[in-house]
Amino acid sequence: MALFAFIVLVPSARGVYYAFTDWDGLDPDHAVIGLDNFSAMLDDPDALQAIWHTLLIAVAITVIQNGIGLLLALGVNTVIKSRNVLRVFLFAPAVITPIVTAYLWRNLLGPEGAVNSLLGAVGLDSLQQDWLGNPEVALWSIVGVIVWQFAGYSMVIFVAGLQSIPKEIYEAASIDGGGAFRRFWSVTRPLLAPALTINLMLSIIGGIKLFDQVYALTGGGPGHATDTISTLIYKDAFTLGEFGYSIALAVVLTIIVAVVSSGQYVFLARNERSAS
Amino acid sequence: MKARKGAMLVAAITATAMIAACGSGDNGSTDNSTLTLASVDQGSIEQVVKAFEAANPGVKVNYTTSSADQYQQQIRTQLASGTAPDVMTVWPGNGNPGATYVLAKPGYLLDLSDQPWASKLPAGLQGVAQYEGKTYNAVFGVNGIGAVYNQQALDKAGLTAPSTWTELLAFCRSAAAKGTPAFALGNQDNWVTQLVLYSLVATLVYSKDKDFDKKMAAGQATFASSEWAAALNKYIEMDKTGCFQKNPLGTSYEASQELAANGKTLGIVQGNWVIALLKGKNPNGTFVLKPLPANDDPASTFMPGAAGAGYGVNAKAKNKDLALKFVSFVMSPEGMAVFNKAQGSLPALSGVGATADPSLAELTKFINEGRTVPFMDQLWPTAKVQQNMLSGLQEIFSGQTTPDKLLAEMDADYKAGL
Amino acid sequence: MNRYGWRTGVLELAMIAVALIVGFPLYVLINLSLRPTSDTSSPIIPTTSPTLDNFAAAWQEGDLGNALINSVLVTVVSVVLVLAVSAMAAYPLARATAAWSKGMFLLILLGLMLPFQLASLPLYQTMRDLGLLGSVGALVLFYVGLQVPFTTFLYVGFLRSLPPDFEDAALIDGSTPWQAFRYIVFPMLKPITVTALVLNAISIWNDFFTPLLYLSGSDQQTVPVALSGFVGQFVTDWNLIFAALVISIVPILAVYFALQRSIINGFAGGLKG
Repeated sequence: MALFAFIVLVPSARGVYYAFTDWDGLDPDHAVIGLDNFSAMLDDPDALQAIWHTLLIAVAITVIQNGIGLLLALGVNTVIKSRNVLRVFLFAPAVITPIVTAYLWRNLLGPEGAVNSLLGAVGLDSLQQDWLGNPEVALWSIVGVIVWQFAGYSMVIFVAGLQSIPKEIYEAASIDGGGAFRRFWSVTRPLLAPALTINLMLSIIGGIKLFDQVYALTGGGPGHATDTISTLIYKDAFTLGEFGYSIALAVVLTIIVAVVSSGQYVFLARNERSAS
Repeated sequence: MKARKGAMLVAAITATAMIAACGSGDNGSTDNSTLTLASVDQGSIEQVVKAFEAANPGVKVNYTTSSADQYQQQIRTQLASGTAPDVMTVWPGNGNPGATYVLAKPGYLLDLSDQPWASKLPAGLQGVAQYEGKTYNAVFGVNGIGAVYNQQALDKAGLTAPSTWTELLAFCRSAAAKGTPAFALGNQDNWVTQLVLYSLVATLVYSKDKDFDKKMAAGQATFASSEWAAALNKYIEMDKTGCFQKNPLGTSYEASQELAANGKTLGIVQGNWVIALLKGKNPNGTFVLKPLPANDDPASTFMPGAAGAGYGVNAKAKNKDLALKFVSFVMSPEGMAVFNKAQGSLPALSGVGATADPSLAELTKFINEGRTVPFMDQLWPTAKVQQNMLSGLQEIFSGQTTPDKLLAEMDADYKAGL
Repeated sequence: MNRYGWRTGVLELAMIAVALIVGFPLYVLINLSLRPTSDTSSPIIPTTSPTLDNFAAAWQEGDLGNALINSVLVTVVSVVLVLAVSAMAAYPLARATAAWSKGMFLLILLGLMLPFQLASLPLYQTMRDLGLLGSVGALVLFYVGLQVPFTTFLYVGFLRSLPPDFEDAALIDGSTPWQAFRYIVFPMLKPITVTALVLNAISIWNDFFTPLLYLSGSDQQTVPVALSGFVGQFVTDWNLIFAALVISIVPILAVYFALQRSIINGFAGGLKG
């Protein structure tokens, strides 16, 4: 606990201080400027847009990634012969360094890339897109890449949850004559609640803090069309040398994560309790 | 009670692990035969370090290399914490978080003015290697931006490189009609968006007005009311005329090289460094760098040509003597030749004797005739002007903003940074 | 449920189809790692002249052997510490109903939420003051602190779903809480421990920026830092990078593959007890 405080809490608290300064991240001198960084944010359309993108990405990833992850987990938690290989295979994308995944996808999603040629080959030319260059589509392409990479990650957690459900419970349920869906809804779902809580928390927090993939896929572009709070924090601190302002953004990010995830946690905890 | 026991156990395990790990972590930086170095010159610094170690037996260089983004983050954290390496990559001029002005102003760099090479730097490079009259940056290479043509693709299309603006537009139309657009444009990487614009600005703004930067700094000129507006409109006109391949915003720098290397476009507007990459992708190709025309008077054509990133010495270097020795080596004919060859750049000091690649003949000629201008951002007061220009150019290509709005924003950022 | 009928067969085919879609980019990755730089055909076409040169070059130029040793050392030590600390911290948190445990849990959640950017600079300066820069010890310390909240969170969620009956029985039988934890609870934690192990190992193994910053100036490096030596702004040989990347992910996938079998076998018996 002391170590955790030493590595995370204390430095973070010390970091927050810079949110109230005009430090450029380099100069030995800086001045305390109170709340100016925060009020400047309200006049910064890039910041407001980034906050909106962040929430959009987080919600989309949470819903899609966990939906797919759960289906995959149910699929591989059966007696199919390829289950062991599939569990490894579907998880493999999560192992690759995000920066490299992003590079790979930049290549695949290019105008002449594999995705468009694949769509062309199966006669879906109308779906061909400039996936990362069109500001309307780019954000969703990023969500797609994240889901591709981390659906297997959610799956692994769901599988761990599914395996903690004793087989006897299923056997009892099938004797009672429930159909597959009813069995899922009334038996599996409540017992899966802890795994669901973990997955939802992780993906929403991960989605809000998302940085590497956005940065490597689009750098926040075209223009600012895919900027998130994290990419803005990075650009402000290290490209523009506005360290204080960037830390103020990080504080806002923390507040958003805290509000969203504690709201979610309270909701899920209640859900868990009523289920058991 | 339970928790306390656990915590003690944890503390004990951690302490043991730390002691074990520390034992192996001695980096020997106090010893005076070891030099620490951080660099962005991946692919060339390795060879320079090897040559330096060979020339100075017993010397060891501990170096890290990273991409520009990560390097800037790393070096700023280290400088602010007093743990930066002895020698580090420093960009010329201003307008970049690792640039000479930015790092020299708070006193992080050692004054190198008394080094023999400092006074030999050509006038065009001194301005960006110095801060307030003192030299801080050992710039070793010169780069230029222009149109790099794929000679085989030109021959196949039966076209020749244009030398005036009118010819350029006609060239674009014929190239597009043949199914091989004139230039590959990888605007997905936002730094690429500026290259065409810089090439046009060099001729349209600087050939008429060499003091444009001084006027800007004195508040006597603006982007919006200068030929910058004409240059930006010509950039857009090029796009509308079909000079570039489809979907430039979805095309990465990498993908744009593929197009030009394999003759899917006739060329690419890029820096000279791209030639080595194109040859890597197509070893049989011939690639030539030429200026990109911006008006109908070839005699007034200028090229952007400027110092690439160089090396600075940490003002608090643990091993100052060795650091200076390394920088002298970088600026020696031997060290410079290794760098120039690996990076495809031209030497910063004339008379160093390295014979330039024939594909760079035009650039060499322009430099010797004094018809080059530094990359525009190197003399801007803050990084914000360039960053907003880059994202703004992407927004123009995706219809999210207009040239007038972009130039007005750049003017506002420039003034705010003065 | 346990029979392999036609429905299962359809499911199997469907799952394999999904796997193929997921695997497509991986195929591109491996395909590119096997081709010479001069082969610039579309990345989806299998290379006509496969070569292992990229692997050999990556291994030598990147000094990957040395980097692999460092990466393995850092990852193994960090993961073991993270798991030990988290499991022990989670147990009282999940079982105790006292107010302090709730507060503690919220504190841990806070650690999960704090963006890394906030602590980055002050933490670096603390490590500097402790003289830990340039040693892998700083990395271990850093990862343990960073990953413990997340892992504790995993454990707490899992523990709450386990009925406390077994430990209660053990406590009544006269064992100490530590014994109850060691012999009753810890074995039941196996699936989540394996999950946590794999997830932690990945994030530690792949981290790039921390080792770049903390090991800079020393001659130590980890695999991602060694990899970055290939990625230049102007000169980038992706075939080489992909080869190096394939080398670097094999250890992690191997660990996962080995462990995921043991989850099934080990755990199936565990609960039936």
